Amino acid sequence: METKNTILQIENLKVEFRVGKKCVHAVNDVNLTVHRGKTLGIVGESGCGKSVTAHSILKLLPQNGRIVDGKILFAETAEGPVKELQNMKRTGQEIRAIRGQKIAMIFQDPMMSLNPVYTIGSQIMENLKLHEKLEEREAKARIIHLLGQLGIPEPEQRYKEYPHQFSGGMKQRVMIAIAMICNPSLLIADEPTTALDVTIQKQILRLMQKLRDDFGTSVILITHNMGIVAEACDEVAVMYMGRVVESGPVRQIFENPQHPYTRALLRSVPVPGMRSDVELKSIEGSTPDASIQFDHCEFEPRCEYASEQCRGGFPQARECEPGHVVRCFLRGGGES
Amino acid sequence: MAGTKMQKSQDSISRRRMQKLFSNKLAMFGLALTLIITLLCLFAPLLTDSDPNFIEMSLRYEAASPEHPFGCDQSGRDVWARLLYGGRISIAIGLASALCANVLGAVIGCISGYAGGKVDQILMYCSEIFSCFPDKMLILVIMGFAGQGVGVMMLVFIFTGWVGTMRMVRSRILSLKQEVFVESCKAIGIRSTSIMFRHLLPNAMGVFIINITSNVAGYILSEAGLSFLGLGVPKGVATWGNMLNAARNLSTMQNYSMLWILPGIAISLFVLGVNFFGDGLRDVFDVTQE
Repeated sequence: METKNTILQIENLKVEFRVGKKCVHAVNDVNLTVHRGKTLGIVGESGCGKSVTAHSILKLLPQNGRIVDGKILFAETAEGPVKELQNMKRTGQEIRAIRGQKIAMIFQDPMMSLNPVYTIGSQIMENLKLHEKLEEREAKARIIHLLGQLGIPEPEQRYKEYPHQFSGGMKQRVMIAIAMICNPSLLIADEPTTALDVTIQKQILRLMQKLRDDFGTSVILITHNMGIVAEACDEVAVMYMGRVVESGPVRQIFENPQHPYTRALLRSVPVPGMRSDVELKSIEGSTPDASIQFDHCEFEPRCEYASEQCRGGFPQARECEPGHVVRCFLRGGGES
Repeated sequence: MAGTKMQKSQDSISRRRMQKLFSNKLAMFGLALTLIITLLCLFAPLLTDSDPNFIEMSLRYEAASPEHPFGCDQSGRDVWARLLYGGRISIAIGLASALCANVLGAVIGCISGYAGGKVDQILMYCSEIFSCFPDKMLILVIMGFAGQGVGVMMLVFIFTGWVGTMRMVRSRILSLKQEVFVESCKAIGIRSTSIMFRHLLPNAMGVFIINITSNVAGYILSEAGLSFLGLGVPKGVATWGNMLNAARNLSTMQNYSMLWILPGIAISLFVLGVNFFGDGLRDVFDVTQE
């Protein structure tokens, strides 16, 4: 792995879940690269494996899930040693030292992500004290300063307050504060704005961009919203049924989408100035059951361009432009 | 807006709960009753000069007098002093065994609920085994081997008492551990023991506190009951139960009713107070009411 520009690289990641006797392949052969100081967006519909991918980075998979194959390589600094996260123990010392300090995570529902019985100050303090040895007063000053930076008014007062006294957007800011207090080099945001209303969404996205620019934090942003990707990401990976079907720089994906699924996703987003009498396109059919084992391209049943070749096997990933990778037979995925 | 914000920010959950508790008249009455009786017992040396165990045969069945406000019992011991000093032991037994049993139950329940799987199964089997012992029988058997004593009785109470709390805390933890904040705790690298005891247990505190109050009342009654049967605290030690036991003969019951009415009233009032207070606490901690 090249550490100068890459902070995290996922190679051929495979994750399985045991559900009763069935085995669900949630993530198959996923390759992702997060560049230093950049935001990678992972988009896809519910159940496509985007959260599972993110959770497996920090080994936060539920007990019945496990990484079967592949590598997760993490290099904190440009010179730094490359750590292999996939082999670390779920609750071991090694991974706990990385969680919160090197790689932080924020979750979808800020209303439930804070412990109701502690003040938000003490919850941020807990993360800070866990990873850094600081004096009480110094730590408190740093937390209050960060809360101010995150746009929380009267941070000194709010420091002493409980989660139920905060609104949804403010709680998400607090979650970001908990995540950012140790200056992590990678921030994983698992649908950070889904539970918030649109104006607050925008504020939170702005905030995350500001943090990325001010602190140089790399970000993985998981979302199902193409608008958010366009707004906040530098690169994007589109996932479907546990596979990355298309990935590349945001500009290329939006201007020149190659995979039929990406095209369909983009067509389903309303654009300002579009004619009001034109119906938005939806994708025919629904996502297949995740426990079904496919022997050919997963998108074939719903794909309008599907041909005989598509039922014959899996397409290979192919670079159609520099940095823009697509998996589709239509784009030459058959030639290897 | 700033004004309302400031005011709102003054109240924490615990403060709001306190206010709710303080506005509950019955609970406050219970608390007052409990506190008064406890304080009276604690400050017994200031309230009486008599030794509760000093036998003065010349004062047998002595009627009430300034020196002995409630008279003396069949062995010439001062009833008022025995009530106060006896209360100390009765309350101490109730409180200490309830606390220990509940702490034990909460810790085991927390581990069982959080760990799940095999650990949970084994701990649940243990709790079932323990709850199968009839505690009165257990006391009989243990007293037979170890002899009578306050400590033995408390041990038996703790031994059999943790099961209820354990189950309640466990079920609470089972639902709590699905909350997202547990995952965000894991995501910042907090160790499992810390998540269990620092983050989940405080959220299950309601069950714990309510159980303590109901157990205190229960154990005081059990102590009285066992002592009345002559199975509890050794006869020499003054407790409310032993006072009842000492008054257990027909002539005393008929002629010197104060000897059994007084400790009976003391037990009833204290248990009533604790129960009222416990009810108030339950209302406060009942999440479904918020």
